[in-house]
Amino acid sequence: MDVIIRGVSPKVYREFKARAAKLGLRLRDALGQAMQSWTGNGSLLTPVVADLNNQAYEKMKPELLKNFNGKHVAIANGELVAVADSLEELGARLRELNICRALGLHVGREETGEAGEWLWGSIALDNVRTTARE
Amino acid sequence: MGIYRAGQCSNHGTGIVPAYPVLDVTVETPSGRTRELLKAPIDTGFSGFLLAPADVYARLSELELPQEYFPSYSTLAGTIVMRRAKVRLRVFEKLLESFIETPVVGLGKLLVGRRVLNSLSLAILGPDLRTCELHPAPACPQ
Repeated sequence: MDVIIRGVSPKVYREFKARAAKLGLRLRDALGQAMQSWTGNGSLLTPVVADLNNQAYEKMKPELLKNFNGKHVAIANGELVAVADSLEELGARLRELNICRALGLHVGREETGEAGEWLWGSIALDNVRTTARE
Repeated sequence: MGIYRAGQCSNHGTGIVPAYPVLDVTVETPSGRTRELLKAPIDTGFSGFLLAPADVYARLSELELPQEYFPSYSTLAGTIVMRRAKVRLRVFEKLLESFIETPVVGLGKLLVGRRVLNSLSLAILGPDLRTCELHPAPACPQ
């Protein structure tokens, strides 16, 4: 069914929409999941795009912060595969281990999903015609 | 502010009208196994690092950040969330530990944003269709 809801906080709506996009969900699917959770008919777990490394990271986050704060770490195939003092060293470890894709972070030092802006460059004009000479 | 001298330059992109300033950026994965030279248009309206189309990102995102560190950006068409991966950038012989980004949903495009631009001393020479790095000129002897 179709529903129109008035008076939603723009900030909350923006954050909700961004969170849905981050999870690769359509807005209506995200809203459906949120309504199910709120009414107790669905899982209370946050929906996460199926990704072994991100799931592993979520589980080991407290341990990483406790034991490897300030270190560069890599997670591949759902396991912590490398710990290093610098990004260069971590890269060398990935090369040694022949790992081509991993999830990596500088524990306790990464910027957390800060909001930025992408203004005029986000709009492109197609088939621009001009008579101006360069 | 002192006196600067221009060093190496990148030629403007002229494929579309009007010509646009670009930076020649060499992007390297942390392991050094993949390296690409990109001619990235300069976009002072983008507050991030190096934005890339999805296919370029796929080749260079050897070490991607966890989802919780994916940034969101306000655009003229609404908010979009970007994936983000660690890379090394070389611009005019300057080496930067940086990030490459692409939209979680959508194709993305190639742009270099303010987080990279603010690490560099640059002059956009519009009439010459070039963007050049600047070095402080030595002080004149008294």
